[in-house]
Order: sequence, then structure tokens, then C-alpha cells
Amino acid sequence: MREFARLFNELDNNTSQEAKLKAMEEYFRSAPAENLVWALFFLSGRKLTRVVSSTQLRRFCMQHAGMNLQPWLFQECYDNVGDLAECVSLLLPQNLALDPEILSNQADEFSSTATSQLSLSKQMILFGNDFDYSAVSTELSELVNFLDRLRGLSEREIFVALSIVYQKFNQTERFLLGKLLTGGFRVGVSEKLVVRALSRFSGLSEAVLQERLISYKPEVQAFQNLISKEGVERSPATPYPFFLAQPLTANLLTANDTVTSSGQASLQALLDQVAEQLLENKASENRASENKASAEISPFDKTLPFSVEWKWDGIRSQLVKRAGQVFIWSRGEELVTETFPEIAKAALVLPDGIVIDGEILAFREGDVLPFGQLQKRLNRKEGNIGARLLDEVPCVFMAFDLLEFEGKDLRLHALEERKQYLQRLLTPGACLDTPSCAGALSPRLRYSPELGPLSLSAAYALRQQSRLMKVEGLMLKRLGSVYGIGRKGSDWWKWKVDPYTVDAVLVAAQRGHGRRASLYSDYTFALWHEGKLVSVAKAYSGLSDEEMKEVDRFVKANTIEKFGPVRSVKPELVFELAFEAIQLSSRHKSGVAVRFPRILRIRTDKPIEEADTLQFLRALADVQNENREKANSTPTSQGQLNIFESNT
Amino acid sequence: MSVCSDELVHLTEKGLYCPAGEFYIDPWAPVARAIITHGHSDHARVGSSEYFAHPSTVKIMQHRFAQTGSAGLPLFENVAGLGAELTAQMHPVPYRQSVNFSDVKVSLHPAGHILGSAQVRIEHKGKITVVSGDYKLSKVSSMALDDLTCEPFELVQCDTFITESTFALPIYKFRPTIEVVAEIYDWWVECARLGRSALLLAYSLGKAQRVLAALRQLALSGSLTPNFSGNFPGPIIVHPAVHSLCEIYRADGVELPDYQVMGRHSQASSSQGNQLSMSGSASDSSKADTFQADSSHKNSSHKNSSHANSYESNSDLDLESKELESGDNSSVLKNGGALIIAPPALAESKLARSANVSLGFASGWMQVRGQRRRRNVDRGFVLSDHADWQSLTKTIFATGAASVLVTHGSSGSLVRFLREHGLEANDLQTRFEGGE
Repeated sequence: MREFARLFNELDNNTSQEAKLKAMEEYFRSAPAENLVWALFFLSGRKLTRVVSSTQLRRFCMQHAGMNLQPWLFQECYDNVGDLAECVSLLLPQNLALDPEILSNQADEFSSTATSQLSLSKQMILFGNDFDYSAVSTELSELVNFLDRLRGLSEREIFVALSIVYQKFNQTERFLLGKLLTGGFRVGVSEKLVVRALSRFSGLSEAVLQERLISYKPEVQAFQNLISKEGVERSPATPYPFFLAQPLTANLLTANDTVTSSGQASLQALLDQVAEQLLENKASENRASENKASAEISPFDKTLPFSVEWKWDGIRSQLVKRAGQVFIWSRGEELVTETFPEIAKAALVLPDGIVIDGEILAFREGDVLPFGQLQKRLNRKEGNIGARLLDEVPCVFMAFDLLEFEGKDLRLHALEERKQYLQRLLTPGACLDTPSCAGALSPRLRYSPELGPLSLSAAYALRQQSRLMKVEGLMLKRLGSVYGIGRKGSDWWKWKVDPYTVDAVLVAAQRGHGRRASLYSDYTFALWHEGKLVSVAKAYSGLSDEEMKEVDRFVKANTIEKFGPVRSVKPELVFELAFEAIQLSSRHKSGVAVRFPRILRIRTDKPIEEADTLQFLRALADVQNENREKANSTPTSQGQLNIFESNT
Repeated sequence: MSVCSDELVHLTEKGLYCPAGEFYIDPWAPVARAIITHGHSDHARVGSSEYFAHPSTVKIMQHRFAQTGSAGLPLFENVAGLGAELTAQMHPVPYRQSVNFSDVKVSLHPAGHILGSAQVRIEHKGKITVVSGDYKLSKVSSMALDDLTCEPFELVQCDTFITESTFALPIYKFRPTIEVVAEIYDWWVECARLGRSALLLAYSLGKAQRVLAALRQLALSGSLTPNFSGNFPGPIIVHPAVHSLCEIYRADGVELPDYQVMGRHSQASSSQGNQLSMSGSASDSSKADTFQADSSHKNSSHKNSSHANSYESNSDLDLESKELESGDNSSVLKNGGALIIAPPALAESKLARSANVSLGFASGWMQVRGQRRRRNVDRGFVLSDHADWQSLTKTIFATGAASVLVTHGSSGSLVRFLREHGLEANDLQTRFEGGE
């Protein structure tokens, strides 16, 4: 733990990437292998199943902090620190009592400094079980093992064990310990940086390491395999690193502000921004020469060198079929096969040596269900997907890329070629050609159709229909491009639909977490309804640090009332909020629930009287619902639905 | 707020007021008679007619006020014309000496916050109120001084205690100065090893001098086992705003190590100033030399050097500092190895962002990792001139006060905690910032 804490400090104390890389390299070189494998486990964003709940850790801390620490004061501290593990590390005294209750009864026998040297026999008498305290070690690997064995013990036993462990550590180590205990571990280095450090250390390429890291386990052998120069035997489950799209950003606000208020002009400005991003790199030369040749055609009407697809609103996943088995990986590199048994079963008929990239969607009768439905399938313990849930939220795998075919890596083949293979693979009956294919392909595996090549104007028009299609927008993938790693290059773009926006009034604030700790940075917003302000959304992201500080000052100076960590404030500031979807909700006082609300900007120009009304928001929800009904019933929309129904 | 006007001290639009003695304490608007606890800008404001303060605080105020007019620092809106501060009457009041305002007896007592900082003891008809101002308690055994730059806090018994609460949460636990400064020293050595300079952001009044004095103590203690020629891995360079206040500290007998002043032609003193002679008697003479050289420079600058004047004007408000980035310490900055002490405003400067500089910040807020990350500094050193939770609660109970009024900071938590422990405690909404 000591070396790991030192590494953590160096990572935490340096804002320079180079210094962080050096610190990790040095650690990889010098740390004992059995600790190193765990350090890498945590650094790469993995976590233990938690040992204690956060409520238990709180309770433990209050018991040991002394001065009869009351829950409200603990809460105040937590609100200021913004991190439970850190808060606990700051509150615990240097010397912990083994068990405060026992301590008060037998004060002489257990002086607080002696707790860590308690003889084994005494502990046995105290607890009369075979709990092995001598196993407590400050070595990271042994500590993890020790913590692992605490699960299932009584709270009192766990607390005694914790006091022994905490006693051995300094503040940084205590902070890290708290992180290990509660299972949430983020240390301020990206996985990418870890991979780069590993690459420098091992001499292997980042791509190879990233790929191998997916199936990494915190074992010495696994680490050696990870950095081995030889092609290690790969588990049949291993997926490929995901290729991620860059966001295509066009700011309608600036377009509106700079160009005159004519809608056409602002659309031109918006398309200009988009075209610039899409075409600036590889295509810029082509564009220049083509422009000369056909100057009369607007650049927005020329065919884009991109394949256009819908951007589905589901769970990005890879479907792996090898050695007679199916594995489904989520983008967080979690194995979710058990969560989607119907998809796994459907994929069994695929031939071996296949990896498909796609999106898992909740899907019924040709219609995408809201993401909220899909969420019901997540975060359930294994095997807990009952028949009812399967029936209530049926899922499909919307396939859009083929990374491996007949056991061969296709990622360096051109996009069109991969899609062609994929389309053929998923066409009903096609897999019967393959001897290993057992039966017909199920409709659970669908092919995400290409919508173009299209011109930019046509793509824009199509994107306007995203809400109707219940997708997030469009994907633009460069023709001829390879399947890359991570969010790199300019081959894949996501062009999300413009969010809904409202002007809402700040009515309450709460302190934030992490970097925003102790700043009032989590806000509640309200809209007008019958002359009163009604809360509709909470949001925290979207402001710059400077703006956040300003609002923090405002909140402190304009507090009306305090309710625990929340302060209600004088309604004075108006914010423009963006959100993705609205649903009528009986659980919310306002009657509506908005998805992914965030702040676009502070409207210092608007008095609160000019903020929007609840009716306005409800009307947006109605429009959304009407669209859905129309899409389901009217024949005109049938054609649009067909875009992804067939096309195969 | 339940501060009734029949109490000895109550809150008005202009600040804390004692009607029986007709004086204000640390007013935030111009008044006829002001008693000032210490020289920080949120407590000592320009524009009043008469000031009563500790002699060191008077010097600090004179220094700061003298620059206010010329530097265009914010004045009170209702001060008619510049130069009002020049007519102000300054009354230096040493610690523990009584001054009477009609039948109110007032005396100042060390607060341990910065040089000259005082608690104000107010006695009227047998009732005693103490206004703490900002304060901190020693974190070492009673024999040794924790903060070498000011007299340690003195406990004053009273009926009503008006306390600050900047760090009034139990997560704040401050350590002895020398331990933290040893950390700063280790960081400096590590930076020098890597060919970088260490830029430490610290308030130019108080914190900077406390660090400097402790560095000197560290060197004199002989506990350092350096691999380089002197005690330190390179020169200490201070921002002119720090320097001008160091002069006041030195004049009041606080011993500081030699340093160079940033962006200044330092040939006059650098032959000695650069060489950090730390042995007892030698340091006295070299200190005198340095001091003389600098003060002569200052005199000339007042007459004809607008450049020098512009950085003198920074005072402890830690404002503009662009012109300091260029200067003839640049070669030192290039080669690394220096410890640069500058006000927090320099966090956004080119210097702070330079690849060759590691950025540190000395403040109580650095206790919390989120604050450290938000400031985007490489290193946070937990060093505060305010009392931590334990010191606050210990002090409050020890004063014997039955009534406690809590000002700036986490007043809500402290008030509730004190009430739970049987004291009559209330929140007092002052405009002190308690920042650091």
C-alpha cells in the first residue's frame, strides 16, 4: 500500500502528463509483482465488489471520530469534502480504538495506541471465532485479500477489522483504503494514460495493450501475459477495443447570434460549421479541386464521403461468437451476456469466429422503446432476468460493424467491405451457407441500415427526424476508413439531434462532489405555473469554473432557507437548460420528467418573469408523444420506419 | 441573528459597533473611529478618520493605504476624493495597554494570526466582550514558537466571544508549521533535482513571511542534510508584494532568510542575497545590508521610477502581476532550482504555467483534495493562519464566554455544535472573507 499511495500522490500531485507517465513507469519497474497486478487493476478503472456500504462506512467513522460526532456534522463535512472516502480519512483520529464499546468498558486494557499490537489470543477471546487478524497486512495484494474475506461477517466484526487496518495507514493511504472499501475508484489518470505508461514500460504498442487489457485479471500470470512480447493465447471471449465517434458540434446559438435572425441564414451557418469539421482533414484537398470543377453546386448539396446511419439510443456492445460460445461486452468492457439471454441465444446460430459491433436496444414490434425501459434490464444480479422482464422489455442487437469473420481480424478492411460482410451474414438464410450454422437467424439480430451516402443538406433533414425515429441523431462514418481504437481521428462522427431547451429559474442549490466539492454547483430549476415557480429539473454540468464560482457566491449571498445540504435561493438567475427527452411522470411534482438536463448558459439578459412556463414544457412533451403515435399509426411514417426495417 | 442593540457590540450597516465607546471594529465603510484587528484588506479598510491598532498593524496599514490612491485599488464609494487616507489619524496601541473611550475600556491581545494581529477586549460596566478577529493557536508545545512571525494567541476570559469560523469543520486539522515547511522544502529539493523551480503561492501578508521564517529556522536547526553547497538547493525569490511586507516584518524584528526580489535588478544585494549565509552573526549583518539596499531602491522608486512603483502597489490584495513575469530573474527561472514565493493571483500567470515550474499553494483549503484539483496546482500544502476545528472549539470553551457570536466561514456548523454543547451561540453576518 505504501508504494501504491506514493504512486497515487505522484499522480495526484502532478498536473503534467509526462510526470504522471514517469511515475507509473517507475512504479511498474519497481513494485513487487503481486502488488503491481492490483495497482494496475485499480488504475485501469476496475473495482472490487464493495466490502461495506457507504452507510456503514459513515457509521464506522462516526463511532471512531471522537467528540460524539453527530450525523448532521458528518454530513456538513461530507458536503464540503465531496468524497466519502476522503471525508472519513480526514475525520478519523490518528489513533483508533479497536472497538469503542469495548474501549469504554476496559479502558486500561486497550490503550488506543496498542490496538495494532493486540495479541491473537485476546482477539480470539473477544470474538470467539477463527477470524485471523494476523492476516492484516499493509501490502496491497494481501490487503485486498483481507478485505475480500470481510464480506459476510457481522458489522461489528467488520468494524473491528477496519479499525485495525485504518490504524496502520496515514491519511493518503486511508483515503485509498476508503476507495477500495466502497468500490468506487478513480485516481485522476485516464485508462489511455495507463496504457501509454504500460506501453513505455513493456515496449508493446498501445493498441495491443489496450486489446489485451480488456480481459486482464489481477494475477501475476495475467500481467506477464499482458506485457509478453509473444502472442499470448487469447481467451475466446476477448473483444476488440471499441472505436468511438467524435461529436459533431454546431452551435445554433452562435449561428443565431452572428447571422441575422433569418432561419435560413442560421441554418447555412450551422451547416458551414459542420462541413468544416467533416471535411477539413482528408477531404479538404478533394473539396478544393471539386469546388473548382463544379462551383455552381452548393457544398451542402454534394454527396458526403460518409456512410450515414442512425445513432441508436441503447447500449453500445460487442457480440463475440467463438468456440461455440457467445459473449456480449458492453462499452465499459463489462461482460453482459447474462443480462441479455435472448440475444445470446439468438447469436448461437452464428458461425464461430465472429465479432459484431452494435447497439443493444429495447425493441418491440418494430419500435424502439425509451432508454428508461432498457435500464430496467441493467444493474441486476446475474440470473435475475426473469421471464416477466424478458417479456416486458424485449431486446435486440442492432448490428452496424463486423470486426472479425471466420476468425480473421477485419478491422483494417474498408468500412464498406465490413458492412457488406455483415449485411450478408445477417440476411435471413445467408448463414445457412455456412456448414456450422445450425438454423435460421432470429430477428433479435438486426442490421443497422445505411441511410446514404447523402448530401449534407439531406443528412440534416434526416437528422431532423431523429426524435420521430427515437434515435439520438446520425452517425457519419468515412467511406473507406478502417476500424480504429478509442476516440481517435476524424473517421467516425456522431451528429446528435439538437436538444430541447427552456429558460428556467434557479431556486435551490446543493454542494457538488469531486472538483466541485464545497461549491454550490448542483442546481434545482423551476418554471412558472399559475404564478408560482415549480421545480422541474436538477442539473449541474455545463458551467465554466468561473461561472460556477459566481453562482456559488450568488447562492451564499441569497440563501432563503437551508434544508440539510440544500439551500433555497432567491429566484433571480435565469438559465437556459437543454435536455434530451421529456416524459409525463406522476412521480414528479411538475408532472414531467426530463432526461439528461444540463445548463447551456446563464441568461443574465433575462429577468425571471421571462422564464418559460410549465405549460410550454408539457407542450413539448405532447409534441413528442404525438409524434410517436403518428409514427405508429399513419401510413406516411411507415415509409420512414422502413428505412431500418428492411434495406437489407 | 439575535444581536440586540443593548449589547456591548452589535452589527450595523458599517460593521461591528460599540455604541458605548462610539467606535467600530474592522468596519467595512468609512467611520469616525475604527479599531483594527489586523492588516488584511477585508479587516483594515481605507477611509476612516481615526484608527486604533497594534503598532505593526499601523505600519502595515500605512504601507497599504499609501498605495491605495495611486494604484487605483477600490476605495469606498463615498470617499470624497483621493488622499483621504493621508489625513487619517493612526494611534498605535501596544498589546495589553488600555485605551478608554468614555467609560469603555479597550485593550488589544495577541491573536496569533499574523504580525500585529489582535483580539479586541472591550470592557464596560463589568461586562467583557472579546472580538477575536482572525486567530490561530500554536500547534507545537508551549515552549517553542509555532509561527515565528507573531506573538502567540493569548486566551482572554470574557462574557461574550465573537469568533471567526473560517475552518470550523472537524475535517480541518492543521499541523505544526515546521512540519509543513519541511514538506515545502522537500518539494523544492525535488524540483531542483529535476531542473525546475518551485513556485509557492501564499498570501503576501502573513503566510509568505511565516514560510520564509520557518525555512530559515529549518536551515539553522541543522536538520537538513543537503547535497548542495548551501542549505537550500537554490535562491529564494519573492514577489515585490511579498517583499514590501517582509520589510515591515524585518523592521519589527522578525528574522527572514535572504532572498532576491522578482523582476528587479538585484545586483546591489544579490552578491550576499544570493549566497544564503545562515550562520548567526553573519546573517544579521547581511540582513542589514539587504534591507538597506532595498529600502534605498524603494526611496528612489517613489520619486521617479513608475515601473518600480507599479509593482510595489500590489500590496496584499494580490492583484495585478503581469509586469513581474519579465525581469532579470529570468535566467534563474530558466535554470530551475529557485523557490519563488508569490501571491495566489499569480496562479494564472505565464510563470505558473511554464513547464519549468512546479506550482504549489500554501493554504488551509488544501486540506481537501477537490479544492486542490480545482485550483489546478501540483502541490497543496495545508498551512493556515486560521484556527482549525479543535482550536476553535477549545478556545471558545476556554474563554468562559456564555454567549458566542460566530462570524465568517462555516458559522452554521459551529453555532449548532456550540448550542448542542450548551452555549448560547448565534450567527453574525459580517463581510469578512476569511479567505486564504
